[in-house]
Amino acid sequence: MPKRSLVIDLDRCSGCDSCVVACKFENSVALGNYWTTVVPVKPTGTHPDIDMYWVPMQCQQCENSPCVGACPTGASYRDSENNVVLINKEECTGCKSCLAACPYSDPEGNQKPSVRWFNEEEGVTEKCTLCNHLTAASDGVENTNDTSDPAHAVPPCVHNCSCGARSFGDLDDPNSAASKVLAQAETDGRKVCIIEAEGVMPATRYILSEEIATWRGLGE
Amino acid sequence: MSKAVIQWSVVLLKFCAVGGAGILGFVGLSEFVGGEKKRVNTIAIVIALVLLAAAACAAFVRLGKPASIMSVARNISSGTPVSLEFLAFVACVIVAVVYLFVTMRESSTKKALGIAAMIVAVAVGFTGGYSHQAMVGMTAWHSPAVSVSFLLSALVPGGFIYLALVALFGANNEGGSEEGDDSVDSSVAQTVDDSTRKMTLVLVGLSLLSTVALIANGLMVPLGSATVLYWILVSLVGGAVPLASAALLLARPLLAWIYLGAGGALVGAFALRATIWLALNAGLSKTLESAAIIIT
Repeated sequence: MPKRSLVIDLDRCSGCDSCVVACKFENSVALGNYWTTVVPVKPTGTHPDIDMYWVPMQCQQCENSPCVGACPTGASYRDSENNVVLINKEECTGCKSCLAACPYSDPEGNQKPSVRWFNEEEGVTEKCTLCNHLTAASDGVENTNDTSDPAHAVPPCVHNCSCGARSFGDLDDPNSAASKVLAQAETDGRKVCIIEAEGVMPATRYILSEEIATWRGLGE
Repeated sequence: MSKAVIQWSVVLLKFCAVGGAGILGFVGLSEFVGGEKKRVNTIAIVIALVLLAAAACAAFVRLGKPASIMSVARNISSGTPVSLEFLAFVACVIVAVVYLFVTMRESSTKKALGIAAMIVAVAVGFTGGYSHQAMVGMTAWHSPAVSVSFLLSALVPGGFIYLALVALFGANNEGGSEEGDDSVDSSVAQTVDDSTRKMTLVLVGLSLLSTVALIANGLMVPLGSATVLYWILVSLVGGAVPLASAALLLARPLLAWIYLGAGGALVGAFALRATIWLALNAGLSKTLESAAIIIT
């Protein structure tokens, strides 16, 4: 099955929140909610040897997704075609079980850092869908001449990243944009990292060079 | 992190479900310890069914709309922890209904139903905790101690309630205790036949295991803001008090020990299912702090 995910180059990320804005605009995310957030990992060290980086956080598309197992109605599910973890809002009862199950979420889904958010108005939980409504049939390699081409669409957070830090695609497909970026990072000797928690095996990859900063996940 | 909100309908659902299942489990056990308990068992199963119905009502309140209930029903075969909990609950209701009809009539299938009743009681108790344990995002929930303490704290109140029914409606006390009758304790003493004593022994064992499990759970998981409430209401009132009551009941069979044990066990079972929500905040930041992994 495909392993669709985002690969985020933290060497490039400047914490500008372009991805946050693009996501909110594309998905009409409720006021005060964020399907993607950028977590600043505080500066450490002493001047002039200080390092700092930003970690964009959204649904990590876990291989062992606990949200799917926790949902009483099956509203949290995997797309049968491309394996992306999604939420069917029609089936969601707003029980917040997925919020408790997800190790990257606030239990009430209303405070950062959290990759799932509770939409109070609709009474449902929401999260990043990798913009599956745009990218379901995409190979993840953007057609820069036609960004609406469904065969090559990428999530708007990827397209609008002002630093070109984000890549999208199937990690099991060596020709996807995401796989190519990962392969290049390994060739360059840069570190590829994940934010693991309780064996959920997140598919989201972060790239960080040692000369930029030492990887500390989300820090303290 | 935001402050967790206790979902009272879920607490009530789990509390009523394990209350009903626990009573049913002891009805099943009674088939193997001898003695004539047709009247007691009939009353006990009716009470278990009332509690299970209350649990179903709490579930309906939580789900809110018929479409959600249908969604849960459609998802029941998914094999997820929460679907196993619902399956165990449905099985418990079915066993209780069949058991009631069989108990009211003379039948040779009682022992088989007794085994089924004990199995579904264990299943309801365990899956109620396991659906919490499966929430990997919460360190305070993600521990086998949670499932075990949920299971044992489900069986103990059921046992005390069953013994209370034996004392009040047992074969040696057909008339029941009259209101204001000061000799009620002596009537209890008369009911302590060999079969009841065996069940009391089982209850002592379960209470001991339950107390150990509750203390272990309190020591193993980060309880956060629930720490004081947990140790007072769950470990002390819900663990030590029923254990002492069961031991005293074995030594001197007084109705007071049954009431004390039942009260403590019920308070403890309810408090366990409520305080676990207050512990929600304790684990999340720890999870993220320890989560930085370099894979290449």
